[in-house]
Amino acid sequence: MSVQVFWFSEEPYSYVDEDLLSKHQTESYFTLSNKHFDPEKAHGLYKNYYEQYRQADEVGFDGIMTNEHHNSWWCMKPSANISAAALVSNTKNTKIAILGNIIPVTANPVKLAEEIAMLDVMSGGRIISGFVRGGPVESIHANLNPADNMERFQEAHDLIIKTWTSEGPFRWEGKHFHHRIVNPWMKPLQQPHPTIWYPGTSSVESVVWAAERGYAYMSVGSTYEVALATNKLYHETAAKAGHETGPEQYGFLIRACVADTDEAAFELGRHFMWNEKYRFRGPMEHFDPPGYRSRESAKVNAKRIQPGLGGWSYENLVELDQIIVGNPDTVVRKLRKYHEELGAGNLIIYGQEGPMPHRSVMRSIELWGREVIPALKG
Amino acid sequence: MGTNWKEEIISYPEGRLQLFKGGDGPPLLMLHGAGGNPGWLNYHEVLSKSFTVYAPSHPGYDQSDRIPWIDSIPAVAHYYHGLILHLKLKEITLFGLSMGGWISAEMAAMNQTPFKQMILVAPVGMKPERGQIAELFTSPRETVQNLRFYDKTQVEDYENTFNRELTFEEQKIERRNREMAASWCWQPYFYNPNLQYYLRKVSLKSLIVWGKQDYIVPVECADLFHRVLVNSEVKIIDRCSHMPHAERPREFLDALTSFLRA
Repeated sequence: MSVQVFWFSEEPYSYVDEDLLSKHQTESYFTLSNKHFDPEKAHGLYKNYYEQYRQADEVGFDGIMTNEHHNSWWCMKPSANISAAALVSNTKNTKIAILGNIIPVTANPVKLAEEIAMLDVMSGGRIISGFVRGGPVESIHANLNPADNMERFQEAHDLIIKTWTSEGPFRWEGKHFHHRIVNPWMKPLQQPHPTIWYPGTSSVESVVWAAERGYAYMSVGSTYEVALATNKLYHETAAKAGHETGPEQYGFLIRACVADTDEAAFELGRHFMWNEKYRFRGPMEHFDPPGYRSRESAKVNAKRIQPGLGGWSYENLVELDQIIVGNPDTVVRKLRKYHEELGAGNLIIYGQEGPMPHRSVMRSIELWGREVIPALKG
Repeated sequence: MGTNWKEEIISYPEGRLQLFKGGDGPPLLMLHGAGGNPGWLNYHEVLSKSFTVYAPSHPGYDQSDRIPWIDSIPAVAHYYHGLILHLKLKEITLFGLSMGGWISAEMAAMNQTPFKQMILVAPVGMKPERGQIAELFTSPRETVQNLRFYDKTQVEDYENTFNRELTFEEQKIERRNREMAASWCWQPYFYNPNLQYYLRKVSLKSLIVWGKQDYIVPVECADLFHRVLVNSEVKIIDRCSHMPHAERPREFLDALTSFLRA
């Protein structure tokens, strides 16, 4: 079975440590004051992260995934499209998967459609366009009424697709977005538009949304067992909606790193626990603001496919293959579970975290490219 | 509580509206705050001795149906203007608590003809000049709970009324109510920048009641309302935060009585 392997990094501000977090992140991750941010240090980190991307491109990763988060020390990417633009000019071959643009918080979906089209044209058709609702925190950051998030997501999505697929000019008078003339000169190189991805963790509603539209579903942050369930639901729902789907429409994001020996990889992988304790810390109100989940979805979420990933030790996570570490042979063997048994045609390798030494990450990428990826594809 | 009241579900105009109604006399329209309709409480009972009290649950709140076009506080005010025509109410005493006070003020600004007088209890709707309205939507429940009162021991049966564990059904309602408040008040945050200009034409006799230590809506806002409502008086209650009716019931009722008697 063919498999596409993507490189992913949150581009963390890795100078945040346990000491700082335990003292200052008392309430919620997005209340940690930005007075602790040092732009000089961030500049140095970006240099490393882009060297890693160039290496991933050169050694044969099929793609690089990028994303966007706000008020976050664990992700220094406040704009997915700016990140993608930098990737376009730093890479030659890889696909660039934007997962994704937070379309409900935008004031102007037509501008987003233009930007993504521009990236697609500039990159020679290498863009995968993901659309996301954003975490509740992204709504709060943008001061977007969370009760409007889902409606705006739907409407922005419809407007972007129409902008890409219809001849302009046309008029759009929806509930949240109004444009009297939609006629952007820039249209995507890939026709009718770039491949669309939609991510989810375990919400049934997300799986169904993607499947009914025939969009690829990426499982980002769930257990193997949950992924088995979402995979089944995805293909069944897509088939009912008349879409032919295969492994290429399903992806799985996994934390994984390679080193020359199992022992070295195991030690390197410990850095994956860097933000585990703090990233999702906060009162319920920060993760579930009023109206963010539809009344229907709140019911579904009550029946969420459990359990999540929180609260487990590094050793547990490695044992359960939720974090994959090892020499190239070990990693190939462990990953087969995901692409052969689960049937994920896309493996998104969350391969770098927090204070992992740059040199070790570069070596890991080299091993991915030279040994792991060819073996997975072979 | 008294027995002089009943709960009704009425159909108007495109959904079901939950309404607590009781008492005798001229009509009093009681508009609840962002948290929801508390039902028939002591102050309803007292007022029902002199008025027919109408205490509806806002559209989308409690047992009232959500109505899609009601998406802002001015839209709620338009809705209630329709309702009072539908119920043929005249010479109404308009009574609003917190967010209900904002709805009342918008209604008075739209058309004051149906109203005799207006009572605003710690209303939102105005942007404070010095302080700010407390963050309610993303603060933990306990934090908000602590802001509501100056001294919880002053609140009769506090544990049972305000701090007991909610049933699943009550949690669902609370969730719905929070969603409605967010959809109407998220931005600008609990105020209408134009309200002060709209209210300048309102000549209704008005009472503005505020807790001196209101931790949710700063007491300075009492003056902002008083400045523009030409026929208004202000009553500030000491040792009291955002819910004078619950925290200082005697002073609260005294203020109402002396205003209504005058």
